[in-house]
Amino acid sequence: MKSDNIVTFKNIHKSYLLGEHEIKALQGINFCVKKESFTFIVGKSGSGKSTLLNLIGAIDTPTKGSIMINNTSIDELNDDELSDFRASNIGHIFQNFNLMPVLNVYENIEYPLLMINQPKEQREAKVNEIIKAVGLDGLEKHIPSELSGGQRQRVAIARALVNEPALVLADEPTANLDSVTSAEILSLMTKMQKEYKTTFLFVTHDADIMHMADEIFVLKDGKLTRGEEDVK
Amino acid sequence: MLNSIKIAFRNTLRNKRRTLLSVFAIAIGAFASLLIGSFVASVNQGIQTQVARSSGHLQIHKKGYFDFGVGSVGEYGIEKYDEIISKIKSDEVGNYINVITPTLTISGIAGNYAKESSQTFVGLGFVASEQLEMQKWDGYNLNMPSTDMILKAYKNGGLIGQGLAKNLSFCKELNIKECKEKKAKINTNPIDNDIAGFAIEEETSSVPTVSLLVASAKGAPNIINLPLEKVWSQQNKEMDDRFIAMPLKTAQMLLYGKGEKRVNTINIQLKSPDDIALVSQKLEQFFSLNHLDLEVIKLDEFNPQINKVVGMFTVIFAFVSVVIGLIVIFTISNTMTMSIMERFNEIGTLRSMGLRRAGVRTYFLLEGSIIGIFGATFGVFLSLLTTTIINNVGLMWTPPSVAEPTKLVFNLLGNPSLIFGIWLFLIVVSVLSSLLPAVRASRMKIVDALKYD
Ligand SMILES: Nc1ncnc2c1ncn2[C@@H]1O[C@H](COP(=O)(O)OP(=O)(O)OP(=O)(O)O)[C@@H](O)[C@H]1O
Ligand SMILES: [Mg+2]
Repeated sequence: MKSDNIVTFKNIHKSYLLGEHEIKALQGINFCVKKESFTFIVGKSGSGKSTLLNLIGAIDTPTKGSIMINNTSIDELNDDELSDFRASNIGHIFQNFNLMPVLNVYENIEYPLLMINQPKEQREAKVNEIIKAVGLDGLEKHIPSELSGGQRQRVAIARALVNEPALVLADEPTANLDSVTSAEILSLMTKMQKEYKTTFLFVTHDADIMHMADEIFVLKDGKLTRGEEDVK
Repeated sequence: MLNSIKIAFRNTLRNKRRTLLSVFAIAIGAFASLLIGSFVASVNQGIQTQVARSSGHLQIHKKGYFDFGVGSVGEYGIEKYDEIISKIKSDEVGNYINVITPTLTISGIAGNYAKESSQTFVGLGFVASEQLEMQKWDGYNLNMPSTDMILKAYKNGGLIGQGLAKNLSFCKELNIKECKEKKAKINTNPIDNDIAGFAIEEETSSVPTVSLLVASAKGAPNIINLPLEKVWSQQNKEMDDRFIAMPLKTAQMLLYGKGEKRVNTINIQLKSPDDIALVSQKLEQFFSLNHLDLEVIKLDEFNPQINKVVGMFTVIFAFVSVVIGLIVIFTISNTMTMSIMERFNEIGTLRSMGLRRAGVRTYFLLEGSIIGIFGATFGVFLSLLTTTIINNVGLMWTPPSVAEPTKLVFNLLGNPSLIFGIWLFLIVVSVLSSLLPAVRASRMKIVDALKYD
């Protein structure tokens, strides 16, 4: 039975042990994210946003609770299965772009397709298409250190979307960009989200961009509330 | 995989200085082991060549001679040795054989009566033309000088060890330099001295002659006078002090008189030193098939000195290899650990994009092998260059248990298995030293890896 939700959290807890001290980063989160939505997660620093996003991205595991992503219960997967799951279901956009410095623009974007063993011709078509879509034509052969911050984030967006994942996660993707570039990147992301009909989950501090969201979740001390009114 | 190699290769170029240092460390390791290894191989092959030239690779004896024959040479003669030799030649095993030649070892007393000196001797009866053929052997392509010269000019007389010649006071007659003649006995009377003086004059005017006294196989004393041709120095001093070579016929006459002529050794020199075990086995079969009471002794058995010298050098080589291996392990694991630490964030990123743990390991193992391949290959070329230069410059040295200085040779090109072995060894060591850091990197928690910048 397929649900309309791409992410389903059931009573998720995540705590860290710092010496003898237990830090409860997430305390009983229950929530769902709708398919093909542009969803924001906001909250103060230290409220647990990154922790939550890492769990959704299947790069971290909860202390307690169960997680369902794209109709797969990821609690039961072993490490290799989790890796394969990430390769075909999830795209990551990082605050620091995290591009491979030894690969050029084209190769960075191509990488996720190599991971899922897509044939060369399809790969080429795909990469070239998305390079155009994010407006990087002509920069294919450049390596990341030769690009501006905004250009790098475009590469990162293209890389996150190229294998058409069901879910794209972005942890403060505009934090390292100036306001003009941030606005460009944001509008690119909304455009791409519509074009690729994918779900965007977006962690941010920025109150100015709340109007762009289909839905907003607010984290406070590891607990979730819904609605714009809680932000401030 | 191609993509992984590309990425690994580019990553090795990121910190060029560090990569170069590791490559150099491995290259120097390869260089040192190859030089020592090829030197050891050359010493080994040089000694083997010398032994093969003088005694062959295999010796056939009557059963028991090798163990008990020294005291009673006469008892262990091989009958009808000519027939046996021609049978072996025409057998399939003959194809492996370069020279097959009989020798007879006898012992007795040698005297220079003109000088009133006598001495026990060990005589080698040999077929000169076949011995000369043996001297040409160069199965390891060493271009070693041989004692050719002596045998080439040889006619039918005796060749005497330098030590024995000195002992028997043949110094002047045989033109031996730096030779202190033994003082004549003090208690001889003047008349004897006069006669002795007269005798010397006569001796110098003709060919020096040594008298040999041997107890024949049947126990009767046999004597001949053997004209001496030249000094033939032997490597082993003990041997040199007692050695006289003579035609096989002469030795046989001394030992058997008019009786049936026999020999106690049939020396076999093979075309290739690699066939020793094979031919020895085939000969054993041949003997049992033909009901011959004979046995085969291999080169390292009749010349155990070889094993000692080679063993010593092999220990040195092994020790150096271990030290070099350790240095390489340390350098590579250090390099890999450093470059992994600098790339935690990348590892986390790749993993979050779906790269499996094995994929992370592969990247770093590939980097280790790339450094290893470059270092080892570079080292091989460096060693080839150096050894070629040294071989052509022509340095001299005196190897252990050898009488005269020989050319210092690093036979590296002639030992492709050594080159390949060291090359592979260093690459394997590089990969293995990257293994631990690579495994650690692959086991990192992704979120932790992503925290680094
Ligand atoms: N590896 C860790 N070890 C210990 N505590 C951690 C670890 N990661 C996060 N925490 C703690 O968990 C809580 C939530 O952290 P998280 O990074 O999710 O916050 P955040 O909402 O993303 O903050 P920011 O907006 O500053 O990025 C914090 O109190 C933090 O100190
Ligand atoms: Mg955060």
